[in-house]
Amino acid sequence: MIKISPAVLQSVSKPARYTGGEVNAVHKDHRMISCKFALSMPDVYEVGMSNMGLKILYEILNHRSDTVAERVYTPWPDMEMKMRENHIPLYGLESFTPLKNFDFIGFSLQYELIYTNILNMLDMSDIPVWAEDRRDEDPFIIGGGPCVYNVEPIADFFDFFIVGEGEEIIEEVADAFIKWHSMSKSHSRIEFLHYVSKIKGIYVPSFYRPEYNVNGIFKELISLYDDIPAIIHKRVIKDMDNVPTVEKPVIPYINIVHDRLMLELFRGCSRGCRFCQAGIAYRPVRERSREKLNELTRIMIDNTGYDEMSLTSLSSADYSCLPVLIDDLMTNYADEKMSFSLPSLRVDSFSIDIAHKLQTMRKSGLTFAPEAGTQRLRDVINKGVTEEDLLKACGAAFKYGWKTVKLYFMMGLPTETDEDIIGIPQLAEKVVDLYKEIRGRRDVKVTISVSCFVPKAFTPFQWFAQCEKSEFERKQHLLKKHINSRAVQFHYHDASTSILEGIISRGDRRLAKVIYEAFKNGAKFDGWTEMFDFSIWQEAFKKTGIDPAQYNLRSRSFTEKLPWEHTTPGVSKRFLINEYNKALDGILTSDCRRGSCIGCGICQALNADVVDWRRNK
Amino acid sequence: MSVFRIELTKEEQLRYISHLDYYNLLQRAIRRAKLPAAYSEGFNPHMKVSFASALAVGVTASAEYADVELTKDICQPEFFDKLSAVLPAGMRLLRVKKIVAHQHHKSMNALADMAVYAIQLPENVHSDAVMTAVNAFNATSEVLFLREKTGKGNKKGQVIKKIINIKEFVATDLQYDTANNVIIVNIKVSSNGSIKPAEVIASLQQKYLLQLDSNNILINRNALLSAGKNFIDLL
Repeated sequence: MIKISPAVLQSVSKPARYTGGEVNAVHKDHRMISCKFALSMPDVYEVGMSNMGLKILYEILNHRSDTVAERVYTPWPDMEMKMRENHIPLYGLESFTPLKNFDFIGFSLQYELIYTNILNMLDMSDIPVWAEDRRDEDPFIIGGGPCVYNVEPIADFFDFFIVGEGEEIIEEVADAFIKWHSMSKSHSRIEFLHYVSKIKGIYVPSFYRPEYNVNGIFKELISLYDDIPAIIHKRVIKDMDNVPTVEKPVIPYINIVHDRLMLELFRGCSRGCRFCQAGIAYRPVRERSREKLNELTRIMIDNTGYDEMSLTSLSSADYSCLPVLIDDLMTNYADEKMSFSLPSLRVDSFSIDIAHKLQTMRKSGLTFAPEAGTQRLRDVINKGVTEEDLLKACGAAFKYGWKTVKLYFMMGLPTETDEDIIGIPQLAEKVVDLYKEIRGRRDVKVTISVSCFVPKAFTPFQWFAQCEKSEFERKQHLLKKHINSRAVQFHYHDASTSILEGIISRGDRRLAKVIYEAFKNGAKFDGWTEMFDFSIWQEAFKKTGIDPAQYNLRSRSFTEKLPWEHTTPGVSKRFLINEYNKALDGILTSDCRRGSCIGCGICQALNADVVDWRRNK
Repeated sequence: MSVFRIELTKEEQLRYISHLDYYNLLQRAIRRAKLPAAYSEGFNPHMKVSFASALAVGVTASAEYADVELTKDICQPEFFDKLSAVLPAGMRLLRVKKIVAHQHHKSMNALADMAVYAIQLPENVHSDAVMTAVNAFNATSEVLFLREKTGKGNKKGQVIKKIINIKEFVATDLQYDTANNVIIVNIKVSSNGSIKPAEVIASLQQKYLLQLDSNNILINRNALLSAGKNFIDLL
């Protein structure tokens, strides 16, 4: 057990990140346990503790008497320095056991810019960062989460990946480990990897070898054994009412990013925005029943004492029983002064009515995501939102008394012209005018926040070339020039983080060298603007002789084999090609949730079905 | 309606949490205990819990005091048992006293006039050097100290400097317990401000050149008093 002295803790910022012991944290005696997991989100405590997926896995694993799950997050650089100085290895927050002594270290792969943190955390744990260098006594390093849909750039650092939803498979992995451990004579790593690769949804990257064409472009992935699947389909939970979930979340001592309860109304979103990876990755839509949600609410509140709950989903306003559920919650918890909120709003007046009813959302401004500045471009991305929808939603909000609105957009979308960019401030100014018209005053604030588009694997835009950095910057400048109203504020980020994300998210296995090199030269917390240093990465590309442009700036052809196609959410390539072509023609695709099947192929591939209470009636 | 005054600890496990975090912890515990807490009105209702004094990050306390208002009248043992059962590690309920309606109680914050701190020094300090510094500190009437704070609000980012006389805020002589390597300091608390125990140590380092690693001291608030009495006995 590791003991951290006050001299260390009192010399770093927010020491409570490192001391554990929170309410509902589970402490077990490791001597009585057959399978030990350390679950990690490779980001700082406040971010990692907010992750829903890890909360679910933590409870499922700790519910078993033979298994333990502990938490570990990335120490902030001040703490890292102190730990390295004092030779303190990274440890699990529950038992202060060094990570090295666990059987599995599971990383939640939420976005590409935390990859260097993973290497740094392994290094701080005295675990070899390259999978091939690990010895039999080292833990298995496993990954899961949204980035598994192109995991190749970090494949060489991991022993295996879990593709898709983890609730069932994580227990299958624990069972497999316990069984193998009691049976095996050799306890060799590779023996277990063969054993675990039999579980559906497990991808063992070292069992496959990529090949490249002479022009340096990815050619194909060769299976090195006969008994492993060529394609790994994601795992999917079919019945959201009968799957174990969070009931007793760990309550942090310090304020975290999402410091409230999260009630997951449903999984998936089938609106079909063509830029959106989550929209494909989490299909089909599967709702929880109103009864189950009411039951979970009661349990979570009783177990935590929280007074705030967020009704989470990719698009919460789409939940078919939302109005009645909200009535239930408002009636049942009025005396307990609970407040409820929605993380995102649909662009329509229905959502505004809900937000008004919830009262609590009064404190903050409202956020809408039209995503593009003109109707033409919104049709290209299949956003399905019109200017009229937006003005109606804003109008309803202004009538209820809101006076700040935040609008989210992207730049660098396929077919985008300067007219589409100029359309963004124009749309914002229409919102400003609307406020004046309705309220007869000028005290409105409209914030436009514009991010740089990153094409992602398994979306219809996966073949599309990302904008160059200079082009993003020109567009940002152009937009700024066209803001006339003082009521409009413009927020944007340095394009270089999106460029790096663009390179890694459609990269192949060769990028591991670059990521390793960047880590060696001190890249960490790359998703944090104040920590990001693009020059380290540029240097890493140069040193490894890898041209990043082939990954982000190149348009791919439909016939090209893509490096990520073997870990799939089940979407058919034909569907994605069709959607790409429809995008170029500005033709919309409807939502299959309550309408007819649009042929994405996911339900068929996964033998799953949409669960929507309105449709099912 | 009823009001309970509670005396509870902030122990080692909670050393590094802020006053606001400690407040939230208590508030969530009261909700888990299903005590009928009273709330303020409005869009953003707050539980009616008021603390005697805020405690800094890094400082533990043998006794913290809070007044908790309930919408119903319940008996003292019920309150004690329900709350005790749900408190997190490092927060122990010591005493609970119901404030009788006719006891018109002033806010504890206004009544607090002295805080007693125990400062555990690092193992490697020379006790002779500490004794010399403490004696010199006790013998003089003025120990000036430059306090630097980073500004908030419209002074954000600026460093605000102020010279204070530490001795003005120290009620009695510092006592150095050589056997336990602990300095006891009685600090005056008033509306005219106060000092932190860490500032006493810093002034010993600066003015009397006491050598020690200030990150390696452990501070505990032993008592918080009003006219020599703790806040439970005050009722």
